[in-house]
Amino acid sequence: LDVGTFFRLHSKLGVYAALLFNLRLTLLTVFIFLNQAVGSVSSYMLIFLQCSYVVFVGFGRPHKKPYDFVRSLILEFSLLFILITRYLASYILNSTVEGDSLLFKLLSVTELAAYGLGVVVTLVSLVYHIVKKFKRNKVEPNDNLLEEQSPEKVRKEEKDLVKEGLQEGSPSKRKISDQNASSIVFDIEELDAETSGGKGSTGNSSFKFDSRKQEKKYRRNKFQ
Amino acid sequence: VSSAIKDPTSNTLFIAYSVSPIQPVLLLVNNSNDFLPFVSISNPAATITAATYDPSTGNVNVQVSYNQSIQGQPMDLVFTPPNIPTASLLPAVSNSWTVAPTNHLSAAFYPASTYEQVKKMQPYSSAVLGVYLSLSLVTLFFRKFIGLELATLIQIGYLSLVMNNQLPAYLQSVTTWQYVFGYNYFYLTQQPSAPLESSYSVYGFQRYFGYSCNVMVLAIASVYGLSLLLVCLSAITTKGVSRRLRNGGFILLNEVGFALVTFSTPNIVTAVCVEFQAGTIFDASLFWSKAFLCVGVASIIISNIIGVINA
Repeated sequence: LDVGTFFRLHSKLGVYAALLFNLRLTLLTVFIFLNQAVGSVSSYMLIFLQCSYVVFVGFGRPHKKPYDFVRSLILEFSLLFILITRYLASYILNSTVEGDSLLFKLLSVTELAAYGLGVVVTLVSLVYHIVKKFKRNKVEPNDNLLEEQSPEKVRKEEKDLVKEGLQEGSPSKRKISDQNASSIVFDIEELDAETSGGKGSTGNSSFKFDSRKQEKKYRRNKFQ
Repeated sequence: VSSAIKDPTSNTLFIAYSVSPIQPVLLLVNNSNDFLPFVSISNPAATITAATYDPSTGNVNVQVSYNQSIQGQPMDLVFTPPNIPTASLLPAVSNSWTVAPTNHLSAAFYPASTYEQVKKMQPYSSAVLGVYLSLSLVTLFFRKFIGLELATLIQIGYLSLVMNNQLPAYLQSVTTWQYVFGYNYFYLTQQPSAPLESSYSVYGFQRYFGYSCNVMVLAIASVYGLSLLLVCLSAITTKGVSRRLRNGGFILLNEVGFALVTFSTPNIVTAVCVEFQAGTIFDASLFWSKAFLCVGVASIIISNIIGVINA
């Protein structure tokens, strides 16, 4: 196990990524709004909150892929830099440094560069995942044909799937449903499973149909 | 002073003075809209280049150029009545104001070369915004988290500009990112005339939620409504189709709905906070605005509850 996988498995925080992400976003907005009322305290809270989220990304490891992890770190550190810059400008630099000084220029250009870097890594990340997904879809039918697998193995897999899927109200059943839904409607199940690291439609699933044929066979068994 | 906008590309301020009542003043200037001969400024670093009366807003708009930094300095606008018999007993009227542009840009003096650099940054800034919005649209359907992480960086970076009341010239290009929260300029009724007395007026936030956040809330409501419709239809269709419809509904709810809500969360939360600040949160005179607010807040709660269930 690499360090990232170790952290992700043991922290078990990946499944809460969406929730923590939203909570952080809401709190950041509220603290920015409170800045005029409470002054520098809200700046400290903003920086503390963002630092906490960076720690969560670093040690909770909600991202499975190393590239996603690096992209997320770049974006979160950029935001942390911007929040620190705002604090410095509002409470220290505005009163001590002239508006047209080189320091202001440097900070502003760095901030603009951070936005640009964020856009570039996001764009590259998106293209990377889409290309990877496209390639996998192209290769999969030949690699995972049901006929090419041993009959015993297939039978055992199906048995497990039926056992898991037919448990009324179990999370596994929901996963099956969401998994199928993803492939039917938008075909995005794998994409989100990789990023969110959670369960259900936004997370990773405990099993995956290797091919349409396998899925159909499972359904036939289920309803027989 | 109802507003003072620092021009991002020159050492110029556009100050709007709300004069009330304006009729006696208009009588004195013979109903002319040109006030330039009658107004002056006490600050030696500043010069009035234009002063006109705008009948549509009732404001006297004064354009001031400066050759030194005037940020934080007092500025007295003096109205000297014309030398006519009817104005012989009228004293000069003045208004005192400390220079602090309402669009958060610093009224510092910059050489022309700096403004040239600022102008060069504008296309870069527009490109960043354009690519960000395009990416957000694509990632709404594919890999939502990638887009949402970028959205957080850009939206919070933009919103946090309000913390700094003296933005340097080099960040002026960022202040033009008014579409950072998507498109929100669909008003069902005319905007209230009273301006919002808050720093957030820079971003176009208004006293009522419906003027600050509308199209995106409608989009969220549409996605949720469509997913509900699909789930309802799944109950009255055949087994195979029913399953697809139900799953399609859940996907819309979990994926597109979640991404849209998270994308709009900073805008919704800020608009609600602004309503609290303006004291219009319990004002139900604009029913549609309150309906939008309820939908916006409910969508955040629902999407998070779904997140908890999924976890």
